[in-house]
Amino acid sequence: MKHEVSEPIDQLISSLDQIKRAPAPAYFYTRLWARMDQTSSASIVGFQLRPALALFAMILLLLVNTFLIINRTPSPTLADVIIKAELQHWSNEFASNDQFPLNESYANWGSNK
Amino acid sequence: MTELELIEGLKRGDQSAFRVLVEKYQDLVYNTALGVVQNAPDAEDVAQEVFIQIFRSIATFKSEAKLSTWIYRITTTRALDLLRARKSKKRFGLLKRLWETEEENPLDSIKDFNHPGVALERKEDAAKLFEAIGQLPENQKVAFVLHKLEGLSYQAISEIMDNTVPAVESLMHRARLNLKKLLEKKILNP
Repeated sequence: MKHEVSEPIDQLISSLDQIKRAPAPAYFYTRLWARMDQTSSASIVGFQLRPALALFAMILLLLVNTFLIINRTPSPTLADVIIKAELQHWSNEFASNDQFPLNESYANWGSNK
Repeated sequence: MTELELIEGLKRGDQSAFRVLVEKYQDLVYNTALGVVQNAPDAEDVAQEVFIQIFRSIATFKSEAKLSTWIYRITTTRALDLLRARKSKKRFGLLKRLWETEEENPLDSIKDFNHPGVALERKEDAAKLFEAIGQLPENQKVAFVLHKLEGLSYQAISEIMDNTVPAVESLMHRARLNLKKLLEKKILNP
């Protein structure tokens, strides 16, 4: 069986013995140069666009910053915080005094004294 | 124009030197690429990439080596890169096919490949052999293609593959054994 198969296999392997070199397709150089031209012009365009892109990015950044500055809510200062805390404290005190009837509180006030 | 003048011209970015280079080596590059990728449009694509790479990296070429050796090396590397890309595309295609009904195999182009340099009466046999060559491991494939299609000696192949001559002999021996196995399978189970 092996012997039966080996002959056609040898024939198959030797099928490339007198092979000729395949020539490159016609106008190969023209197409190659066109591709190189296209690649280099694309990279030149990219390079030329770079300053424009940088300028665009800078303007965008400025606009975003301006928008954020205009619309930001001012953060409270220390004085604001103190005033707010004092107001809250007075408000709490006032509310706690209101829980008792006015007369009673006066009476208690007198007795306490 | 001597090889040295050609290299000097290329290093200066001389377009006419580049044209001479392309005209001198285009068949060598195309034929080698065609042997590896086994598809005419892909081989042309590889050949174009090879010359673009030569144009861009000629400054790195060391004159101790032969220009043709360097060109063969770039060609085989580029051709193998394309095959790897094709294989990964095939893997992705298998996943894609789970969602799509249309069947398309990126390796279909390898089947029934006919090299234009094969004599008409041997075309059928050569197509079978090329199909088997396509299934060889990368190193064996490159060595076999360079030897059979470009008629290079083992010494020249060893320089291109940056290997020793006995290593190339071993590669060729293993390539033949593998081809026999693959063809045997094909004959017994057509």
